[in-house]
Amino acid sequence: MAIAPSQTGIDPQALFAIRDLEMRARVVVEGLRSGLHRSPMEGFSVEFTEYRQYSLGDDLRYLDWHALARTDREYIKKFEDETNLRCHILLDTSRSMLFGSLPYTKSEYARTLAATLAYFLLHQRDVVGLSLFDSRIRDYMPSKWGPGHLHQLLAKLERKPEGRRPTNLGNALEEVAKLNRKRSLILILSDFLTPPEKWGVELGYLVAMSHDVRAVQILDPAEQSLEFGKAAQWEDLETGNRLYIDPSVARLDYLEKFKSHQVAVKQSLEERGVWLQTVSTDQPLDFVLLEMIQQSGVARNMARTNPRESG
Amino acid sequence: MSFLAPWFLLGATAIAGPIIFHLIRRATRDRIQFSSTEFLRASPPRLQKKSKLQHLWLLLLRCLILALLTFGFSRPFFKQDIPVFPIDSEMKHTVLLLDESASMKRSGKWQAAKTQLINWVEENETDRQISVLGISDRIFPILSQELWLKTAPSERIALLKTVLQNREPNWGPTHMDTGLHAALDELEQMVETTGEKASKVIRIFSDFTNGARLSGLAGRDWPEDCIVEFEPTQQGETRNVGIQWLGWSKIGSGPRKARFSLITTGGNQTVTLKATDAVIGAEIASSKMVYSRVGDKRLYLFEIPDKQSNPFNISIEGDFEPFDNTYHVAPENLREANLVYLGSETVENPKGALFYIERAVNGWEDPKMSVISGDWGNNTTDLLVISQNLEAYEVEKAKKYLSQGGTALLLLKDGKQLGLIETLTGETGWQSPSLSKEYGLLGTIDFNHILFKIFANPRYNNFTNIRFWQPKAIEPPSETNSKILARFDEGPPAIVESTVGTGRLIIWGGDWTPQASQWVLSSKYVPWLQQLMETALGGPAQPTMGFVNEPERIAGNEAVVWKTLNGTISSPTAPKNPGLYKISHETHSQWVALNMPADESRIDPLSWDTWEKLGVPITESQLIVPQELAEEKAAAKNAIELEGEQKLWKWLLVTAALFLGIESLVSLSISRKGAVTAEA
Repeated sequence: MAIAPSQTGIDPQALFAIRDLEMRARVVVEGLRSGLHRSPMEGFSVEFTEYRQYSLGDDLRYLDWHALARTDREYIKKFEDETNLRCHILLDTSRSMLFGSLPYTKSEYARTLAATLAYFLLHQRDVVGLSLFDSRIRDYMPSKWGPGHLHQLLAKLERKPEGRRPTNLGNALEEVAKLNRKRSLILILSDFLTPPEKWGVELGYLVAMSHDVRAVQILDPAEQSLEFGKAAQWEDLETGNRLYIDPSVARLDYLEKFKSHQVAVKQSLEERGVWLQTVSTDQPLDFVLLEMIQQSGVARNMARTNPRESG
Repeated sequence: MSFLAPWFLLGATAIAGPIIFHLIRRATRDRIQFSSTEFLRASPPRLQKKSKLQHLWLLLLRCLILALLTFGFSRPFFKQDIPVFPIDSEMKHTVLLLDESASMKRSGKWQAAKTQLINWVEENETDRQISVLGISDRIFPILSQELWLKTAPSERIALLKTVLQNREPNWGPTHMDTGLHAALDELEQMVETTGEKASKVIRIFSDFTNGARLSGLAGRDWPEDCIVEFEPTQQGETRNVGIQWLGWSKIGSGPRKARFSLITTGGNQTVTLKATDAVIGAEIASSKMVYSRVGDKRLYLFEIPDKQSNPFNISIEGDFEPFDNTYHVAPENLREANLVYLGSETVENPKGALFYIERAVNGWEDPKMSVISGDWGNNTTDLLVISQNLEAYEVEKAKKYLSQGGTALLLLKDGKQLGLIETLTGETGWQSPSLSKEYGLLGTIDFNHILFKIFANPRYNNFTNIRFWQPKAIEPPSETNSKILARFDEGPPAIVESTVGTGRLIIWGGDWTPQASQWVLSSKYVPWLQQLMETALGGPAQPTMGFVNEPERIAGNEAVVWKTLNGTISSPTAPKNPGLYKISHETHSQWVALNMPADESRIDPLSWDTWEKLGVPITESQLIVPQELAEEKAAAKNAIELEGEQKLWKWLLVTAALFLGIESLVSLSISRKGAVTAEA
């Protein structure tokens, strides 16, 4: 799949001015789609492409019996292939996601990203599921494709979860593993601010179940640079702890620690074969989506995951 | 600069607060939420260097606000020398009032007051012109200003001591208002005499009991330069029980009862009440032990035997002040009077005037009436009522009776009686003009006449509802000693009074029967008849009981001789002490009782507020208390007045509020600037 990205992305601030999540997702996806080519892959699908000569070993289900009767030759009907990706989005709704130095929070960004992705995938006729989690999974939608599914999914995303709790990614991964028995692409949208030790093992289980796990780390620019705030009582959104922080004093130390955390996260993910995309909330969403598609090779992946792949 | 509440200046120590807070960098209260503080290390709060104060202007502003508040609350004022006492160096006209009322009879009071007066004059006589007045219910000049000025300064004290030496308080009530009015008049007099402008001082030496009368001071305009000072005698016993006489009580044919209540002051007391015959000393009623409470209004009754003709005393035993423990009671002076009716009717005949006269006078207690009808005889006659033509001998007798000062009422039934009138008055030409109307009304009445004076009040002067069915006008001759008391509404006279010798003949135009008029059925009939009777008797009876300060109310204007109870002293001048006396008139003698006014028994102290309420310019504070304390108090008062006038605290608080506003703006701008810097 060749994609020609647009030169400039959609300004996230302008995007977030749109209140409706579906509209937001559509804006991103439509903008992106203009650069997408039709899929060159073929397969057995409802869309006919061509006939070819039957050869031994071909599935007789696809033999065109009418052509055989007319011409007394065996032809096999070829159809355009349909993607049939089973994707499950695991969205972090914990307290730490409520942070945002921009006019919108990480949580809003992540929800929009999830919605965009769902919109995109569902319009590709892929099946998409959703899990919202904080300390455990609070909301779960199994992977489906259907006319009302997108709306239900968007409604779930739009609804603010009750009583946010601190992150426990390990729990969430464990539960997802239990709920998703079929091999799926599992997309984790989280800030990954908890130490890898707390979720590494569970992630390993998930990968071991043949799920294709992808991690999208969503970070606020302030979290990456600490160019934010002033000397004040800083309250940890997760724990509620308060510390007197003077950012100018604490910055160097913070950056060092944050960097080592990032390294640890990346390492932990890579060890388990999980691809990580770190997204800053000031990045245009269409770029992020594009990168996600390009880097994660959703098309390639689709081919891999499609049981009816044809050559 | 002085302060009214200097202890508030301690609040200035609070200025240290802002200085300390400005030395320490403000530990921010701002809260910032961050996704995770796990990678953050707490920054230590930064202290400023000792020498460096943060936001110096703000600090100064805050210190200034605190200082202003402290300063304002300590109520500062600038000292000015307002004289605390009215210009000591100037000449003062001073009237000293010495209470000579009955309550000063209490042990030690009088002597104390005299001594205080003398001492005060000794200390303060310089630059003063002094006049001394004694007060009770009257004013007694003790030492006039004239005499004071005439006397050599060195001899004035001796003179004062001499005039006071033999003075004693009388048994009168304390009319403080009269005393003060007199003192003001005296002050005016002093100013006129000397022609000098001087401040005026009235200083009262008294026990200041609650019984003193002050009501007359209400609404009095006081001269601006006048001050009233008090010098109370030392507070002694305030517990006392006295008697307030309420009169006699007799219900129907029941026994006579002496009626009185008790005046109790200073606290509840148990006392014994006794009634003792003043002549023979025996108890005439059983004694009563009573628990008398302050403010008690209970009525006490002593049943007095009918045969008791001697005066008696009601006495109190067991209270704390003996000066008012005996109350003297003289028997009532009950008069008896004869009304002679010369007419043909009988007492039982309701168609005759006698029937109504008898019923009207029947219940009178004083005078006790006897109605004699038919035969005049030799009875003493106090009032003669004629309703028919008289026999010749009766006419002569009546003329004699009238000429000797008797009073007669003639009911003119018809014109035949005109001759009788002419005979009795000795005047010819009396006429009875006929009236045209169906009935007559009294149109014009002389309410100044003694017989109608009691109806002069507009509430009672309506006679238009009394109709005269058979009115008979009576017109006196042109030359006459007669006076028309009332006229019918048509104009002719209805009631005429004719003077015969020293007596009087009242001619009533018409009969008194209900057939002839509504008069005897009206509410005005009995009072009018009683008034006629009193007039005939020469006025109301002389009372037998009175106050020692008003003996003339008992003796009247007649020359009488006063005899003491035991008859040892007899004098034409009224006695000065309470007691029982026998007064001898020309014709008769009677017991009378003189007592002390009951208000003098109220010996609890007078409230000082009363003076203030009455607007009396008092300066009691500096006089009741010792001089040093007084000066201190006066200085404090001066300070309060000065502070109240200057009201510096208001300005200070306004300035503080202004600075507070500026401080808010400054600190707001600083905090905003800080926030911007932090976010940058």
